[in-house]
Amino acid sequence: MFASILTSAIRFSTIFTLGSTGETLTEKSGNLNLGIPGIMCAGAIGGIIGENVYIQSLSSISQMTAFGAIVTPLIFSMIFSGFLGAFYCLLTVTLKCNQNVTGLAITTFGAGLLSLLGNRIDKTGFAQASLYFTDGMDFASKLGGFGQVVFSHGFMVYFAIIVAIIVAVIIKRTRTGLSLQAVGENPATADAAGLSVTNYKYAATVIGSMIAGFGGVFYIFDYLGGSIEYTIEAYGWLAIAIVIFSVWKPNLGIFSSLIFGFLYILPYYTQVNFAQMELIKMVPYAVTILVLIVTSIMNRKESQPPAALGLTYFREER
Amino acid sequence: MNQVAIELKKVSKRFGEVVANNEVDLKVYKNEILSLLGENGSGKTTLMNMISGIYFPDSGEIEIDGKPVVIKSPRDAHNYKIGMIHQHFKLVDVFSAADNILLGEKMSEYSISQKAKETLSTLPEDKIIKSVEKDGKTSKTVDFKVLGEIALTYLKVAALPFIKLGKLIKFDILAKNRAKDLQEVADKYGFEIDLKKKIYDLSVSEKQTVEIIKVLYRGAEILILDEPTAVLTPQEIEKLFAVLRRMRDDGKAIIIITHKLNEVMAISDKVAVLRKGEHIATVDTANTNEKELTEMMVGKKVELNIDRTEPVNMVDRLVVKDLSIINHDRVKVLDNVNFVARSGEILGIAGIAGSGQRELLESIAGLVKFNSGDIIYNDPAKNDEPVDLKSKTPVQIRELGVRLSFVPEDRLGMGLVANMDIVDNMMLRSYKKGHGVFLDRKSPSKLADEIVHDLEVVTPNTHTAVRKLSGGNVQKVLVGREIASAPTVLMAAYPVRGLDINSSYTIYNLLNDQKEKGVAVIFVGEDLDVLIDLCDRILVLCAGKVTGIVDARSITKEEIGLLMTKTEVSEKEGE
Repeated sequence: MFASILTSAIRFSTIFTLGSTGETLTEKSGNLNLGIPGIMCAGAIGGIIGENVYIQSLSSISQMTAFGAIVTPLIFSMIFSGFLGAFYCLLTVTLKCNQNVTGLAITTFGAGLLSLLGNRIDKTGFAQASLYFTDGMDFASKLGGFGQVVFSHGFMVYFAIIVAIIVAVIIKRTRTGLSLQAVGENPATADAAGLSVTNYKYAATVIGSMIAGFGGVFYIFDYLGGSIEYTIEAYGWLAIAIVIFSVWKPNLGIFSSLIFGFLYILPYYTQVNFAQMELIKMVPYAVTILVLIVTSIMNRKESQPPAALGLTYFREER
Repeated sequence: MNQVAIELKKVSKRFGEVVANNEVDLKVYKNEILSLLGENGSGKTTLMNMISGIYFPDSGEIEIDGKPVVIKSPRDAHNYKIGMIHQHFKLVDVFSAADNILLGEKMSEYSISQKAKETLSTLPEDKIIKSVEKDGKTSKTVDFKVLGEIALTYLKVAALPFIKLGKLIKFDILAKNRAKDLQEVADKYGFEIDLKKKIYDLSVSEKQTVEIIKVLYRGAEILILDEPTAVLTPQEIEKLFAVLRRMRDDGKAIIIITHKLNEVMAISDKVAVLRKGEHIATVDTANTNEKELTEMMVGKKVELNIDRTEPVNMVDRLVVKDLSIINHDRVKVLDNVNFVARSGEILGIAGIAGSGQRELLESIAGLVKFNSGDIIYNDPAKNDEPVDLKSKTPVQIRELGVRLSFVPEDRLGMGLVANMDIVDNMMLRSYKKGHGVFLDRKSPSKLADEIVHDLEVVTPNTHTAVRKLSGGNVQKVLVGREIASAPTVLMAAYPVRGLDINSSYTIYNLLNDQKEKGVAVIFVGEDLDVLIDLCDRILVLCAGKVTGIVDARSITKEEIGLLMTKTEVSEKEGE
């Protein structure tokens, strides 16, 4: 029983891991991208369109290959979410608009795009394509319960964890990461140090958006097996909460996502009434508030958000 | 004659309607310290920002080592080996000092095409196919040795992009012992600092040291320091000057912006004077004196002495007893502070920035709760009847006539709202005085006009957002407003920070006027010369403790300097 909850928690947490890793990367550059829920939706619709284009290009579904069925939707998703990320930067970095307003607008747009196009696209063959996503490793069943919990998942689950670790290492251990953090903490300092604030913000936001967009693809093709649901936006908001929960550290984000994923699916495995179920669903949010309280009481400089988060930078401002 | 390091030719910059620099010519030589002198708003910082790539000049030329250059961004400035140490340090708080120094460092150039050429030039000249004579017959065979060498050479060329990538990745990864390597460099130059410490744990002078190391580490040949001494103690200033002299002797060109004439005389070889955005003259320091410089700077004769009148009718206005404050971080910011502020005298407060000055003033104004002690105010309106300020709200304290004009480090943080115009900022103190729900705009508007006129605030009109004024003018507005409310206790914290001599004296005279009117003035200052000249008594704070209340007429700067660092000294002696 517990093993099966854990298995689905690990699987479900992937959408949070991808979303929060992308958002952390973006926020490290000082961009408070509240558009991330919309960008995840855009990533999902990009994946759907990509898969549709791929299947249409085949003369029959039986010709489908794992490579095409996986790579086409991922590339389309990168284009869609990357475009929205770049658009967000165009507005907030180049045109210096308010970040919150821009982010909310992008969320509204992305969510709208998903519900506008989601149902209108022909999903024939999606169920078969999604098998390529969900295929676990062969040896999983041989390892018994442990193998089932850890190795039975589709490749994107591991991909998400690896991406989170890579992002964490880059932020913590490389000059690129150091420069990125400087841009988020104190853009004037980074600028004076000869770093291009604009380039770092664009790169971090676009790459972060693509990572988050993969979360949408995962949800559609792996978790839902090729069908569609419109709850991605809600997961996007949770991903932003996880960024705070994991104090802007993607490696902690993996575990935070697991906790959130666990709490999110727990009600479906428990024999409780409706009210209790809704209460359990509230736990992740309550925990986030608790973490905010704790980190602000502790007042450690390292567990604070990037100092220039949400601020637009203009060099000649006086 | 020394070589010219950088030359500005007719450089101009304007912000909207304000001309910050108008056709400025300036030459800086190697092996030389040049002081850039000028009043507030005379365009010193703007000029330097153009050299360091923060601003781009509207017109004019910049030449470095005799060649015209275009400096579009701080990155360009780096490439031309220009390093600027800003008034507000450009450091990332949560990074260690070492990481701040490393930030933005570039990998040494690695050109693939050049390397390829080098590698290809080593190609063997022998032919691959050679003729071998054997038994009288010539047969052609392939020389595998030559072929192998040629193949290897091309392989090496093909590998160059990968080598570059590898070097890039290797450079990108931060070494674990990076702080140690840098520490050796710092120690070699004789800087006393632990580079592993986080910036937020460093003192102001240590932060400045980090900035200097950073600039040196980047290989800067032209150094610009924007008011480096503003926040340092006399002892720290001496140390800084020693470092600057060493760098000058090392062949660097140094530009230092400062308001303090004695420092100009002490450190610089030449002085360039700016007035209202224009370059007035550049003179050798040895051939000039403070008076002449001042006249060049302000364009008219100024009396440099502060008239200090003997205090009259002194009454104990404010009595502070055993005041202690423990802040959020559980640090004792004020420790058993006792003093009396008397009407008709100026009490100066000296101390290193962050020694508890802010908390002291804020607790008197009722903005900060204090843990123990009493603050008693003797109300002149009620025949000097004592009032305990502990139980009063800030508004009640204000109504008693205790006024705080706090000029915090960023000037606009407390007291004024940056985006509001001068009139609206005046209303911050009078918004409750209107008729019913409607605001009275007339009297604040009149007050704003008066302040602009009396204090010579440079502004297009009174409806200009405060944020657009230069620092000195902002301060004039703030101090002017507080004085206008006819206080009985006037607390002014750093009211002349960043102000030029002319505006500073305007403020000193204002404070003196208040003193003569029988106001108890508390003046927190950083320039010890001014404290000694202006105040009647000086209270010295060190790490929240009062280390002395001295008579300003009979104390020297060095004695105050020692009191300011008293605990540190005694700790060192204890070791």
